[in-house]
Amino acid sequence: MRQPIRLSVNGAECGVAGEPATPLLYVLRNDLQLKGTRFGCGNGACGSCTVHVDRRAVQSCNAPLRSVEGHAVTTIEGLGRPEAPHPVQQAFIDEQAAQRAYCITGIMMSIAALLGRTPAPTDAELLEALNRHLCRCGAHLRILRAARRAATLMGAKR
Amino acid sequence: MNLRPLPPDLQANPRLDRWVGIGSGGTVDVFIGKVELGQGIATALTQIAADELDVPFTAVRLTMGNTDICPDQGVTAGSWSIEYGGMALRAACAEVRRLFVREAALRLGVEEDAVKVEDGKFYAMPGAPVLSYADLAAAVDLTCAPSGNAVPKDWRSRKLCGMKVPRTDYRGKLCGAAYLHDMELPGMLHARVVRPPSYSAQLIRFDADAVRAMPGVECVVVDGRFIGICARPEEDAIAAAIAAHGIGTWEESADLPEETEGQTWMSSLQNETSVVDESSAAISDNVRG
Repeated sequence: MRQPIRLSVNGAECGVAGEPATPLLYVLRNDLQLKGTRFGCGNGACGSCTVHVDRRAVQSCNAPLRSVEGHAVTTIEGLGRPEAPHPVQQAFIDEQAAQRAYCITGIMMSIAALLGRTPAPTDAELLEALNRHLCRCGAHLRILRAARRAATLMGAKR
Repeated sequence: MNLRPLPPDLQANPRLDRWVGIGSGGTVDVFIGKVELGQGIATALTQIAADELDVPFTAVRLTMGNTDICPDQGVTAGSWSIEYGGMALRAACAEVRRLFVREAALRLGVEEDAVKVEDGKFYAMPGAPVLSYADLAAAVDLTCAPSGNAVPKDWRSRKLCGMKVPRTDYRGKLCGAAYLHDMELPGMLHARVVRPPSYSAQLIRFDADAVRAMPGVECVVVDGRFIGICARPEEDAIAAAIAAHGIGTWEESADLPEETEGQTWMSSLQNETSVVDESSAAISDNVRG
């Protein structure tokens, strides 16, 4: 049964009509028109749809609406804007760390979540955070460089 | 005068103003019938156009995939956007540049060969009068067909092609900009295909009406063993596709070899041998042996 559900997305409260079991991904993309959360596989295998729920990286294709009610959802659009990118986004632009870039918004959400709790991660910690992401263009080394640069940029800001 | 065969995309769209527009204010519009899907062609095609027109990279305003005003170049697929689209654009820009050089030569009172183009400026010698694309635009008619004898610049004199130029689409994409396939049209439905459970599984029985009765489903297509479902919203298409898979009765047969038989099975299939390179024949014999 579709029912009204209150969500907090990028700091704004909004109401949607959905089934409690509907994955957050489709509501973000179709109801709220936040296309920066990418649909990759819809199966929890690729990580393209990663968002933050209370600052934790969560795959939105595996997050039923009822699980995020009352929690703060952040998407890539809430992380930074083209005219004021988040340090993680700036680092990826600086390193040109993408090819097609379809997987990168999810990857940046995971890195931002990691840097939020671990400001100076080791490479092992970075790889662990990236382990749930697939990039078939093969930009992996650039992605790692960008992640390290992001840690530096955010360290400099503190 | 050597007439060169025009690239196919330029032959199919044989009017220069389909490709390039020079505004009286100096804007350089480039039109291309391909779309940026993350391949980086917006950046690469801008490099090609800027190099051939001799204008700064940032002076080019690229319009992609607008079917009202861009050349018809068919699909955006494979590596054709650069191999065909890029070569057509380069040839078109060489034609445009040549027409502007001709006009500049008239105005400067020199031979065409004597006109140099740099950074969007035309001049005959250092310190001499300088004309810009904007100065000449009103006198150059681009509604004409390509002549076929404008030769693109020698690769050694290109300044942008072959260089690393930051991608023009990253700032948007990395901040969540939509891709082409995110476009939503009025009344659009979402669809899912139901995959057969194995390679040659046949669909024996399928109650399409049961799927049609599911929430949100607008249309169910069954063609042989193909099942497609259209619904709105998207999550209803997904739910219906999962249900449809279970509703169908499939007949499966074991027609794939065991994993261990992969190597012998592959070469036992009907095949066609062709030699790619004589010098590596010995190597492939070793591999085969």
